[in-house]
Amino acid sequence: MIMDGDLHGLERTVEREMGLLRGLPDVAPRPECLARVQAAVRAEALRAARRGPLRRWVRVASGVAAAAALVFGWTTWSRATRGPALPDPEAVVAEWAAALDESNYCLRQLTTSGWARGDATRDAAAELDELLQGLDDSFERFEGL
Amino acid sequence: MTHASVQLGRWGALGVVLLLGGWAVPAGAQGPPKREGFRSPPTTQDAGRGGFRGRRMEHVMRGLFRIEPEDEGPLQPGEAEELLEFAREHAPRLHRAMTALRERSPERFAERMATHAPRLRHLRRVWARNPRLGAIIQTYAENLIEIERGARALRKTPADSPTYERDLQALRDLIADNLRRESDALEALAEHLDAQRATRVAERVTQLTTAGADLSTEPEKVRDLVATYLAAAGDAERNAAREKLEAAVTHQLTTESAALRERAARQREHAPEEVDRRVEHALAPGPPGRPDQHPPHR
Repeated sequence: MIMDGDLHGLERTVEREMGLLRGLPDVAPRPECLARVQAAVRAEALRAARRGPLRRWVRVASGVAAAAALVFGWTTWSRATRGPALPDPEAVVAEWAAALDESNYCLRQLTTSGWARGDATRDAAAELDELLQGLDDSFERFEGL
Repeated sequence: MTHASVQLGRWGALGVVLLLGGWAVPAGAQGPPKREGFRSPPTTQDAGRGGFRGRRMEHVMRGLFRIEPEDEGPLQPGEAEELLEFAREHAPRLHRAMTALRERSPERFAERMATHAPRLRHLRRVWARNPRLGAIIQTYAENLIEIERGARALRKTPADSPTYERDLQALRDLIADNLRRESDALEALAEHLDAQRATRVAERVTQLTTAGADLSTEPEKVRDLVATYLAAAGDAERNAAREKLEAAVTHQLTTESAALRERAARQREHAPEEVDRRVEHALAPGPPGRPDQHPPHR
């Protein structure tokens, strides 16, 4: 079922994560750090590819995430040449890996929840039905308290 | 029934968690989606209610928590707008969904409103009778949806995912919040009953002293007082008997609301372990709604 609430939640998550990314300080990652990010992306892609019927979508998601990570890495690297570097690039790599993992998760959620189908009327009707069903269930629950 | 078994039954009934992940309604399905994964909530017939809830309480609970005949019936001209206005004032999320559907498809909106009118009228009635209770239920219902979504997502998320712990905590917070709201509802209900006590006592005494009233489930003391009242020789004796009967009924009703408050306090006291249990149950694998997925009673 397509759920506006899910999509709005994911949208907020993406916005929040983008804000966090923007807040990351400039850093000059060592080549081995970049290599670790790339390895993490490949490992994630391989792991996700083993998960069954969503294989194709996961591959797409992983590819997008990997591309985003590389663009981000190059951008911050180039910015880092003009600013101070963080002393602990390892921690930044860990942040990147976590962000990648989460972005993959979010993309999987988007694809598996049927975002691409995009029937707005059905979305709204489903949301309304779900809210009313929640009320039904709540009233039933409260009567049983 | 021993005290321990009463406790066991009460907490067991409380422990019936409301959700399991339901899969989607097929695209284009007509009518509201059925939550296949929704666990049967406890009923008033559950064991271990402690015996405090009699027919009087049942009547009040039904009036508040069930759709009554006055809520039924087709939408009247202009009523959809009234319900929209009510939602705008008290249920913003519901209002957003309603207005979104109306903008995108007036036909579907009319269809869904016709289907949901009884529940919307019911919600409006509860808000009118007891705004505190209305607000509690409104938020509880919205939390319930998020709990279901959260649990469904978590069941599909590897435990070693970096988002898992965060999402698990979010689920736990929602479940804890709803548990608090259940306690709040019990207290609100006690207040509601207390506020209506004088009226309820008068109605009850009138009912008890009506010729042919069924007294079979009443305590012996009440039956004796009714008999004394009915056999009174004069006004003075009858008034005295009525006062005693009113005092006895007042005591019954006071005990009811006190029991609700006691129940709320007990629920708050045991909230941490109850939250743990509900979280564990919400994340339990397996097809939703199976009876064996009900949390074991303690």
